[in-house]
Amino acid sequence: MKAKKYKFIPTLKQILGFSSITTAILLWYIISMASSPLFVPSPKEVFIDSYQLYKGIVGMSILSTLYRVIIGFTVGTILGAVAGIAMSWNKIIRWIMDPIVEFLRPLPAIALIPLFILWIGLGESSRLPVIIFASFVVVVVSTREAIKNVPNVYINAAKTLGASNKGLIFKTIIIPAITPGIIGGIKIAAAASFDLAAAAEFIGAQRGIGYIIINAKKFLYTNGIVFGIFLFSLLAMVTNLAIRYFDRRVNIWTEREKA
Amino acid sequence: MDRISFKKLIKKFKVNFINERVINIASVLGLIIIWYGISMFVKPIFLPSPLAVFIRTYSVYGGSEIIQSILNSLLRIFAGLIIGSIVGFSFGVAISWNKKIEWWFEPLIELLRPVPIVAVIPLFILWFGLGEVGKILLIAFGCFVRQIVSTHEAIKNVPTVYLKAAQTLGATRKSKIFGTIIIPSITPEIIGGLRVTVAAAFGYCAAAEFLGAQSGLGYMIIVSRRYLYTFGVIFGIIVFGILALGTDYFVRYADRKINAWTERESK
Repeated sequence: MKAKKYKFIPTLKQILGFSSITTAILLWYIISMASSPLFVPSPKEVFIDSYQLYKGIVGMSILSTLYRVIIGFTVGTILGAVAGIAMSWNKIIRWIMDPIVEFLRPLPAIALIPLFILWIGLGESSRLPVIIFASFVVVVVSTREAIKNVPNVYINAAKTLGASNKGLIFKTIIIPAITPGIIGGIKIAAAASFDLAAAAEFIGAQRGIGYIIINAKKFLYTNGIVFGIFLFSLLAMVTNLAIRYFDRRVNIWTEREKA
Repeated sequence: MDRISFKKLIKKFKVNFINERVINIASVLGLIIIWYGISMFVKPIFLPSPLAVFIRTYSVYGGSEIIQSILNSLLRIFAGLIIGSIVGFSFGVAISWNKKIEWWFEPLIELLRPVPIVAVIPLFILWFGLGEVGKILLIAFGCFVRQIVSTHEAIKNVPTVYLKAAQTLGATRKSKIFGTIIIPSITPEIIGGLRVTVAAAFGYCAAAEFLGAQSGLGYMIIVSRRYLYTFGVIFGIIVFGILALGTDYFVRYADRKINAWTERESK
């Protein structure tokens, strides 16, 4: 029996989605033709011309920015998760750290960048602490929230079934139950890290995508600015997709509607 | 429950409560004391004492300048926040009206979502210059993107049961369903998203003021950094934090008032 070959028949959803992006690009073209290249450069100028210009440093810039973001974000997230769990484990730790976290939370992390520059100088290492700090605060708060939101029913059920050791309850009930919540916090921390990396690079870096943007701005080279923004978005999108993939793998057993 | 163990329960609760408050206050005081301690050992460039931060900032900048900066920043933040949130909310509602409309806009939103708003600041400066309009528009744009996503998510998460129940009870016109079911049920989630948006707005304002401003709190921070006035930098950061906290409390208060009817555990 011959196997049937399926033709690619797009669903309405795909048609609409595809056409909306195409329309957006067309609109972009039209607007760019109607205004000077200083204000709205055409897509061709942004991607092709800028790439020609920056070809040499694009790779290094992307790596530079990515390095900052990933290291800062990972360290901050791990520290934050550990701190969050520690705070829920032990009352004393919680009582001590709670006001500290609540005090640090409303501070906009971007506002801290000049402080770190003052402390550490304009070099590479002054940008990492800010990203670590911001990721830490975000993840601590979301971890605490997630732990608080574990339905008491679960814990009581575990106790009924014989789990008396607090460590056991933590390992088998709480940690798996908070994974969705933590991943949510991780997404927010990732987005914040990119924001911070952009700001930190604007305020005087020598490398990275932000450097490309600031350089382009100095010469009023709008193509370069938009190109840089595009690179940032690309990185952020890839990171987001990676986190979502991770999310699906880890949380495959959770009962949630498709995000 | 007999009276003896009930009393014990209350007592245990009170003791815990007081203990917690005591340690809370103690750790805040501890922080301040640690701050004082470190500031005595390091040069004032690195960490001025808490007192020095306020006194020296006041003496260098003068009260009126400080207040002016604060008001400038607040104005930008609130203007941008209000414009961005309202427009974002409206767009979010409009997009969720119809499955087909939703399918059309979804890729655009997914493309717009990961853009770090801070990265767009130089573009806005190029377009709008260093004036108020650019900054307000930037903050508005940031809040706009967040609100669209948040509103859209909130509307999607309305339990279908509610809609079907409304239809069973006779609501046929979509606008009526929207007005009486969807809008009220998303209010908690929207306000929750609003708190995040508010915090983000403060960040965007700081970034915008760092990169191109002649006035405002962020400008004060940048100027202080250039003159190595650490106390000015720390002062600006603390004021930002206090303002953000205050606005957050305000939103939480509004949340409690508006959503008094919702069944939620107290935050």
